[in-house]
Amino acid sequence: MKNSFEDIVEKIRGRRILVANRGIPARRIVRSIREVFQAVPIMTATDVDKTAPFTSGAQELLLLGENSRAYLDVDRIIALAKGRKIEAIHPGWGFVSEDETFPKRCEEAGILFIGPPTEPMRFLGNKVEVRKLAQKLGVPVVPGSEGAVSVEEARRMAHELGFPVMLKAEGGGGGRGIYEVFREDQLEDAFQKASVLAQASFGNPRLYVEKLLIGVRHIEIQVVADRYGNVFTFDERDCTVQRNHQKLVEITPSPWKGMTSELRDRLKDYSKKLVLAVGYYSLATVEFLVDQDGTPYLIEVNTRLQVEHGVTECRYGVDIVEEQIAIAFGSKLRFNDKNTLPFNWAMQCRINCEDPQSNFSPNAGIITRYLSPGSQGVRVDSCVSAGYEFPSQYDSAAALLIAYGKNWPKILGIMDRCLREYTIGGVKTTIPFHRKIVAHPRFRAGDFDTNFVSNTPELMLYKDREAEALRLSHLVAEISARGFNPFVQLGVYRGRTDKCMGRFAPVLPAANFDEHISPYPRGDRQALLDFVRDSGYVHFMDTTTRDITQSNSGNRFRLAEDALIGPYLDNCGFFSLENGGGAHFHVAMLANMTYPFTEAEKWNRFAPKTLKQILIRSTNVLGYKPQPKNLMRLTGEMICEHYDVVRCFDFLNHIENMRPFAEVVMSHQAALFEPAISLSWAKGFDVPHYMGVLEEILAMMASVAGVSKKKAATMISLGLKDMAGVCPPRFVRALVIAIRKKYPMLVVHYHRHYTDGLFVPAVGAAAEAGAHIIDTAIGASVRWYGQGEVLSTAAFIEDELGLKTNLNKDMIRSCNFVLKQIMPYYDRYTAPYFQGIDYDVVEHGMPGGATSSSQEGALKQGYIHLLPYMLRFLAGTRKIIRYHDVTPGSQITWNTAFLAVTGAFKQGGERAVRRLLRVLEKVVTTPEKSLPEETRKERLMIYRESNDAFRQLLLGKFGRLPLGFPPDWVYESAFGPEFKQAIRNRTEASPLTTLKDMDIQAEKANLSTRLGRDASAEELVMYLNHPGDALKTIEFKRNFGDPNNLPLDVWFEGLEPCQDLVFNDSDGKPHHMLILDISHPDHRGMSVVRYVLNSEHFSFQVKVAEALVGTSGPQIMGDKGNPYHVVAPSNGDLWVTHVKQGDAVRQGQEICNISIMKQEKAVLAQVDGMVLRVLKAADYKEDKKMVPVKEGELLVELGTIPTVCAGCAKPVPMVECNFCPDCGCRLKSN
Amino acid sequence: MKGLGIFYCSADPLSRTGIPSGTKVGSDEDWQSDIIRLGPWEKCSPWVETKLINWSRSSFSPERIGVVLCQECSSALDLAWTLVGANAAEAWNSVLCARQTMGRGQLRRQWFSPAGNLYAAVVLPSVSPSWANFLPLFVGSGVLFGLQTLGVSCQIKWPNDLMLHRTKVGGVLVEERCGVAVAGIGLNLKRGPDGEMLRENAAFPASCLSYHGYAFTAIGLWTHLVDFLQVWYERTVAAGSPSALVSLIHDHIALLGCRVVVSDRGASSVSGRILGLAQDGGLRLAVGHEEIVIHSGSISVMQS
Repeated sequence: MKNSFEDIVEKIRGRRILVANRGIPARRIVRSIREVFQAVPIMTATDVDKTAPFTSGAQELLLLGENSRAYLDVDRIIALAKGRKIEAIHPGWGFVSEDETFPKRCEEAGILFIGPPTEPMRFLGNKVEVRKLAQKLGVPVVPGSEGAVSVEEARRMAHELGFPVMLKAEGGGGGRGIYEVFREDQLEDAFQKASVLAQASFGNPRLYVEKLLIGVRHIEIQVVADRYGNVFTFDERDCTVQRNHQKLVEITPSPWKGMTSELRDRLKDYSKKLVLAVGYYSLATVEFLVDQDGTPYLIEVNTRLQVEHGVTECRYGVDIVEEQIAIAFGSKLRFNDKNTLPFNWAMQCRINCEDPQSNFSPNAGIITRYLSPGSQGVRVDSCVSAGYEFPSQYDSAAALLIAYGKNWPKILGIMDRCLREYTIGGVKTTIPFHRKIVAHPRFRAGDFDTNFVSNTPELMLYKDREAEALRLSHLVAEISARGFNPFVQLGVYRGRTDKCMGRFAPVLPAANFDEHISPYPRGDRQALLDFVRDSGYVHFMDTTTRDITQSNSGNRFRLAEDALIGPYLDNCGFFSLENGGGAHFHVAMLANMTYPFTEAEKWNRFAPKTLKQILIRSTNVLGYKPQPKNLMRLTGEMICEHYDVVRCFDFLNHIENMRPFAEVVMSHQAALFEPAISLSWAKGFDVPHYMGVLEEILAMMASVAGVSKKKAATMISLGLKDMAGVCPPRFVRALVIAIRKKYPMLVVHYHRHYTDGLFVPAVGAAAEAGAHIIDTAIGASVRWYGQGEVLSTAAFIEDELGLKTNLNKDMIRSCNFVLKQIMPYYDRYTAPYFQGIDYDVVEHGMPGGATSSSQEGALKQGYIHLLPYMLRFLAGTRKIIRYHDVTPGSQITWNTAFLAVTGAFKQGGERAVRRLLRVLEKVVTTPEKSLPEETRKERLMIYRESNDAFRQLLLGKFGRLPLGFPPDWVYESAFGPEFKQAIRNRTEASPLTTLKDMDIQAEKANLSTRLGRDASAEELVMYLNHPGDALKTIEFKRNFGDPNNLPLDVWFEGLEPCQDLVFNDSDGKPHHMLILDISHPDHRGMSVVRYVLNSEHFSFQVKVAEALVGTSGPQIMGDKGNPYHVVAPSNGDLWVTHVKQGDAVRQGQEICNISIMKQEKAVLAQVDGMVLRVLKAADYKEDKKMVPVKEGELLVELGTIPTVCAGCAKPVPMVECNFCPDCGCRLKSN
Repeated sequence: MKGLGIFYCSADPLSRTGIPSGTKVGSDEDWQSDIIRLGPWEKCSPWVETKLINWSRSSFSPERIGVVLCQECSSALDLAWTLVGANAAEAWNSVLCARQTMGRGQLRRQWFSPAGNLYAAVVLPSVSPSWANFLPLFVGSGVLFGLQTLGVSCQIKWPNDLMLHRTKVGGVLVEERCGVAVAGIGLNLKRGPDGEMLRENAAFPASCLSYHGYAFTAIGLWTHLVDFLQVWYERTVAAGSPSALVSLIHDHIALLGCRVVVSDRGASSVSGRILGLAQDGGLRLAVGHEEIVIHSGSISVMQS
């Protein structure tokens, strides 16, 4: 008697049905068991799976224990099921679903098998049998052998068919066990191998031969049949998008234009015949390859429910699994051509936890985020959830994402937006890869074959990153847990519980930014110079966002705060805004994690009217040591793209050093080149001297521009740069008058610092003498070592001197108000040291910012009591070796003083220091002729402790010394016995003549390798100038995004628990973050930050302290990005360490070796360095002991090589060494 | 597979050193006759390291997988690293030498290296991180199944020894530097070390394939194996997952179910019953009522 579906529903209700499967199929089938039948769904589960999210729909679990392969043990499952009074078993797909003995064994146990009966299953499932049957029924098959063959038969067959052919394992299936042979001479060999592999893989060495079809599509027909001979065939599924015969995307109906209704009917007819011929019932899928002409070839029949059944369900609005269950219980098939009609298109993407960019390697781990797509046209069958630890033991399928709708364009659109909505965090998935497929024009045109993925490598090109808001939230968590921001490189400047400055919520005064029109012509330097010359008033450059407080807050201003005050500054009527260069270029990367030229580009957007000015250091470009010409030019070109005025100085006034920049800037019509004279005020540095320097500048410019000196003077502006702030007003007046008199057309731009307290009178003197442009800053930012304040300077010039200015003073006041709100944060965290006036600068010549930082250095190293001596040393040495007190000269002088004074102190305490200074005093005050012999000897101690940079300076390696080389005894003091050689080696040539060009292409390749992608032009220039900090910034951006999206207080202090933060991402979308809790550090030193981001909860671990001793010995985790940290590459056993503390190592040298399952991994030094400490060591050959290590654990810490022995050229290990440990030679430096 | 079967011979085969006295001459005769039988070869002579490097740079290409044959060197691994270091060898290029003066096993143990046996080193392709720790198992199983195509049914003694009838006939050592991995493969074809040359506590007696009735010559066997390793790579590493490889190897693990002692570990030694391989390539041991997975150590059978 035929049962109707309704009868079956009645029959099944409340019965116990087992799904012998896991993951997606188990969950899918449980749903159908529950929905209409109201039966009791039970699912098998191993220990790994027993609490997995996909088990939630099951009423009970059939626990299989710890063996993860237990799903394959049919007998055990049946025995357990019997004990649990289970009446029917559904095998799902995969695992044992194709085991033809399963139905029979179920039957023997008295359990109903939800699937086909054993005999027809065996018949259709066997490729050789089904092939014979097909030929009998007139169903075309792939030409090939009838059954398994020997090598000889294979060869004969291949000749008949023509190459290429396939060798297929009889026991294979699902794309596995297929070997392609393209040439006859490969056949024998391939056959042997394939046979062994088949034996190894499937336990059956037998092979058959088939023609290898090229350029084909994979098309399959879903069939459902009942026990009574009723068969229904659904429209085709196109599963052509595959990789290694594994399906990735399935579509119904096929979007291929060759898919005609006639072909469709043919395939359905073939499928129906095959199923009917063997008395098969339940579900089956008949798979064909179809060539470009539309000729089909049967490949195999799958006798089970398939992964891609869902698209058919969506096309027809039916439940195939429900029907399969009913049929197994004896129901009559409900579907027929009248009541079951297609009305949708549908497409499925298989979302797997695999990394397509790493050869689709499976990717187990905790899923940290899970946001599923939704709304109309979407179906998601997944087995995961947030917080689920995706296991490594099973296949990598995480979800089946189906889009369905009225037509192909609609489902393409739905799928694309679903793939954008779908968020699975913590593991790599195929989601971004599917987006590339869905976007590909050939896919959209339906024009692809089974090799589409392997022949379309561009599908792999995508960035798989978390959203920027999430990355930024990690940064906030990191800063919050520590209480300080490690990236600003200011040490532990505050603790987590320290008082906060309070929230930064700036009040921005209303201003009409459209009102002001800048009078300065932009884009034409000649017009600009003419305007300045003819204007009849004094012009102001603003240094607020760059030079004002130098190495403290000024250079550290972030783009975020620049963007707040920039629009005001843009409307103050300034000649230019100094917003880049000098130390800022470096600090932008070192501490602000910002790309410097991207920053300059943004400036030109939020402050578009005013000229932008940059400072560069001649051959030292934007760093601290001479660079080759080609790097100067490359950097110069990029500078000219973003800046209008390029001020260039050389600390030795060696004008030739500026030439490459002069050439680049002068070749740009828009850019104004401003060569600057470095100024000092001391014996020899007088007006005639500087007039001589000016002549050199004009001669060089004349040569670059191909004009006379007089003409050259009309094409540039001249900078006068008093970085130390030492030149008195009378001297400045005299100098400017002399310049204006000699070259009346030359535009003069005067720059000085406040250090001596005489800023306003000095600038006034310059203006009165005819200087056109002067440098000032906005009041709230003014500190003693920067420039003076704009409004007071203007008042002095206007009211006391009677000169004119043209400033928008109200706008300056508004700007000052904004700045007043910003400065407290920078003052507190970036400038905690000396900020006052020091008139003695006229003696010691130490530039402002340098005094503050040198005081900090002396304090931190415990020498603060020697600071007065150091300043006296500076005052003395300036009279012996004479150059200018600007970067990097000021650093060299400071280091020389520091080393001399601390060196003397180490030898004989303050007495020795006083003696040193007495000798120095005598040397500089007594003429050489009258100097006693004893003092001549004693003075050799003065530079004994000097460092390499100082000696390079003496040799002329930075450039020509402005007042000539110092006396010979200085060399004897600095170089020791070899001083005569040093004197012979001196040079007055520009370093540019000897510095070789760098191989920029090679460096670019090197950078791209390190980044794993092409480096941008800006990244290359960053890298060439400051490699280490550039890499750090690039990596920071990848990990965290743009930090300028975070407000100032959060950047320095982080968030307290329960504080709200609203920030924008780089697309301007707002996000809300709230920290719930920051835990105490655990034994590993890790603190867990729990927080909410846009209503989603997250946990983020931050290492805030060193780990305590653990069970397997103390572990200190290294910093993988730090090349001086030698870390374990993976978990394993350390068995040999080749180095000990104090050893010098070369880049690429093997430091130690780790055995990981008998693979021996050499751990190499990434840089040249010195072993500071060895944290873990082993010597297996000696003591037969290995030491377990954890991935990322710090094994050896390296330091920079402090110095090299002049005697034997070996590195000297410790700073304190006075004698070389290798050769015993006396060491000069340190 | 590209350009299989094209090989290069480096030195003038017998010119570098004479045959040391006491060595069975027959073994070197095999080497010579292989060279004649399997040629033609390209020669790089006289033997100078820089010449070899230049020669291999110009001769090897992705289409022409090269084998450098060498009469005698310190170790095939050393020579392979020299070529890798000079960018003169890429994936699947290999070195085969007739004798090694300083052959090494794991932890720099000595590897007995008289003439007549197979001493090879092959540069492995770079693999995704998920495969990084499976290279020894990949190479070991590749050699195992490669030998199986020739009718030899070996087993793997976890993780890197090849066993035949409970005797050790070969071993695999993978070394990695700077992300490049080179596998050293030693197979005793004609001779195994004598009893006294075995290291103390060696788990099994050593023997050689000829003792079990298999007559292979080094060059002939290696050209087959290096070829097969690439097939094996395509089927396992390129197309599958580590766990699939583990399940393929499972039935070929030596000493399944036996009680063994594992020593030479970072921690103390442990004894237990071998259950098979873990998903991560480690060895599963039943210790008392617990199952543990070990990732290092030397295995020996418990004497009862």
